[in-house]
Amino acid sequence: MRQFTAFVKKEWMEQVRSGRLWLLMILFVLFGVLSPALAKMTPWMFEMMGDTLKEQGLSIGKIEVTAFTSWQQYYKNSFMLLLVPAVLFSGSVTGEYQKGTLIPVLTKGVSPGIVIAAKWIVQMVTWSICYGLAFGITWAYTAYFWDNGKVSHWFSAGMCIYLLGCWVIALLLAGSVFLKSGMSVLLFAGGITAGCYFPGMIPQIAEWLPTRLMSAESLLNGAASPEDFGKAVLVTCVTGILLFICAVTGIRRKRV
Amino acid sequence: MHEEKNILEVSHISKRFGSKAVLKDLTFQVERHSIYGFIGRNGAGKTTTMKLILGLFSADEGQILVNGEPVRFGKNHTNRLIGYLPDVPEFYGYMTPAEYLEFCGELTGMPRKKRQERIPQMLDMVGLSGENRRIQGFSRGMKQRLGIAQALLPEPELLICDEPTSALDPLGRREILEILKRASAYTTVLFSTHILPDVERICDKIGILHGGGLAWEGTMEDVHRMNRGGGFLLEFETAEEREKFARAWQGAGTGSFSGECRSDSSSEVRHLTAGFSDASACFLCDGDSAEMKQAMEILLRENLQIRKMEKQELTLENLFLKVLGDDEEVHGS
Repeated sequence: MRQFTAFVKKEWMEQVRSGRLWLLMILFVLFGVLSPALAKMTPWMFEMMGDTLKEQGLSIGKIEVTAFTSWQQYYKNSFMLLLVPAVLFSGSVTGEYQKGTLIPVLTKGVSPGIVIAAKWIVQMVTWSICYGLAFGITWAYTAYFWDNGKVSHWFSAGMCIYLLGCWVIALLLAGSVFLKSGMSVLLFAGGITAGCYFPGMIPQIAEWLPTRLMSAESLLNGAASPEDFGKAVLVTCVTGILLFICAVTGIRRKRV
Repeated sequence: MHEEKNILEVSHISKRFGSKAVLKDLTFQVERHSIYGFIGRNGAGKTTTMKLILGLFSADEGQILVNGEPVRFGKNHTNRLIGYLPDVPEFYGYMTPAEYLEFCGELTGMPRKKRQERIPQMLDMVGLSGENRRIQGFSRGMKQRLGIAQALLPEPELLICDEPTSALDPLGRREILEILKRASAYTTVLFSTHILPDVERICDKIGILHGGGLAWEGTMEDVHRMNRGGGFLLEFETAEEREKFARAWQGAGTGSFSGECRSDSSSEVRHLTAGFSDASACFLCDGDSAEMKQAMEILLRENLQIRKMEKQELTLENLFLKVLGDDEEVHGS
């Protein structure tokens, strides 16, 4: 336990001193502000473009912006919300292999599984803080300008993207154990995610895939209910745990 | 904890990487409180051996015991007894040396009080006390010194250093060797290198790794002993003068005379007896200063001219080259 705590402290220090945490926080604050801001600016933007559109024979009616518009904007950014931490976390384990910084650690009797577990915890905490910031800021501004109560299942929808983020972190860690560079880990995670899209075209399969969680936006207007995501949530949780176990056991067999 | 006589026992270890056999039936032991120099040319398998001892690689065959406990790949329990300095030590650049040692202390389960006491001692020992910069700005030598500090921090029973001086300037090398020498007062040191003067300077025992196994093993005393029997060489102006000297030498009953230079193949040590060397006007004599004095008396008595008189020294370098099969180098010394 003492080794685990020491490595968690080290990982946290790395997040802070490398500037990774601050960069993620700034970006997620921007994501959080951007969604309600864009929703708020939508009527003004259409008004600005009104004359140009009129000349082209298009007439714009009254634009009504609601809390739904703000949340819809938020979920349009959800891919970026997942991509940015994935890029920043992809080199976490492979960077240690490449530089050789794990060797003094492992030769002190630290189990390689502890290294993975500590990295997973710190990345999860970082993701939770940053996602919480983006989600919280969007919620607060949306509540201030409009009414969140008029949007269905905004919290469940938010949790779907959060859960998908946790799954991506586990996927990156598992990839890091078997691959040699951050880029290959990123490609591996991207490949698995993209690979889920093709079978996802068949609705019966799609509801079982983690990538189904990307369509959480459909919860907002009541087109889907949280129960519709139950199977995807279950598979995401189970495969996430399996990926983590795979990473912890896999690194023990890895030649450092 | 029970203390074995040998802190490290490597028995019949074999290791292949693909089709290449790096180690073949490697066996050696390291006694407690000694400095063991592990030498071999680049790619001989020194780092592989060390990584096998640390459980970072799995052996194909054989067994490694650290204080009597078997080393198992992926289960690095025995590493609590070992301090390791890699050939190119890399640390977390965003930490200061004190923070890094604090981290290492926590990893090894050292109590806080002990850490507070030991970390300044270690930093002082390696000349990094008061260094509050982050490690990312450190030179290679400073990283090497920090590497020794982190390896020695938990007071390991065995300190393994992989080519600790290979990329350092002469001053840096001297500093590292002095630190290792001091450390040997309370731990056993196994260090690999291909810089032979470093081995001569601090090692008690030497193992030469060649062809996947230990080709020669002995103490520095053994190497010095070889020097004592190394003999000397006389180079004459002509072959006739050499033969005249040989007859006088034989007549005086000094040393043995076989009529040809030979190497005693039954021993690992090249042993010279008096005789002709392959160079036409040279004569090799067995023995030490007493025989040299006698040779000079013969030269004066017989009024013989020589070009040179040279003591034949079997240095570690010559021994190393000989073991590696470069006998020509040995003859040439």
